[in-house]
Amino acid sequence: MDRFEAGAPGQDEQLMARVAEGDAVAFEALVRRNLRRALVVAQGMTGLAADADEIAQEAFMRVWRHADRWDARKARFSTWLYRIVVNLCLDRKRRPGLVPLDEAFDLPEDGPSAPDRVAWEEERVWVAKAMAEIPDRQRAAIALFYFEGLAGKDAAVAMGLTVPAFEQLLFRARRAVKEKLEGYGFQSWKGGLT
Amino acid sequence: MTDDDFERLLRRSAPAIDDDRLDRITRSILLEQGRMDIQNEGWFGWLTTRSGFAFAGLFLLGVVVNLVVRATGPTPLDFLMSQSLLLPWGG
Repeated sequence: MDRFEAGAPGQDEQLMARVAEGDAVAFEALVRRNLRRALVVAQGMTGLAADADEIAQEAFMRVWRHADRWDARKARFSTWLYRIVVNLCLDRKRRPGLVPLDEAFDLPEDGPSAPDRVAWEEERVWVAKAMAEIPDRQRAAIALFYFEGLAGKDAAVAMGLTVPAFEQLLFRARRAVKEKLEGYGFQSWKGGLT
Repeated sequence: MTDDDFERLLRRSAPAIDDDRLDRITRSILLEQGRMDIQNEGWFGWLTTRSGFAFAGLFLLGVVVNLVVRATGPTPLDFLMSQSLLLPWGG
């Protein structure tokens, strides 16, 4: 069993020290431990599974190439990774000719069992649609804070913001999503929105 | 919907990532990493590795030629020795 599977704090940092020396085994362990979080943020921001896959792959390639640039005294590895992912997503959204976020949304394979499942999946589609219509940085704030469950301080570092600035951004993002959902006449799976 | 309900709604709306997808992307990342390492071997490593093989090949060829020349009867030895002594495979 990989001794890095347990997820104790600091293990990513140990792995990164080895990755910086070109240790491919440590890199694989690092990928297996952190890929899911990179994908959650990337898909939360882009809305497309295919884009999220490409972004996560590119993010880890950057980790491999620039491992020597990471400074453990400045940020945890996960924060550094989130920052790479967010920046890649923002860069991609600036490119012309992108497929709009609401044209595709990957429905989950897991989650609540029937009959709640259909309502739950529908709910996720509505939230994704609302997310697609808010500014990129607001979407990043929601993805980091709600989807990935980061603390405000960590999410702020990942976005290169101060904590008050992040809180303001998150407040605007939350309000924007809520207004969009209300505009659709959305009714939540567990209780109505209005 | 209360603010708490709305926050719960956002939290449970995170994209779901299944294990098959994780495995597929992990393999893709590791493949790309291996490819990148080969590219990063660089021209110097490429050249020195291949020039080492080339030198060894020439050395062996010289040894074979020298043995053949010595084994095949009367030859202009003075000329051959004067040339081969200057070469890496000896005379």
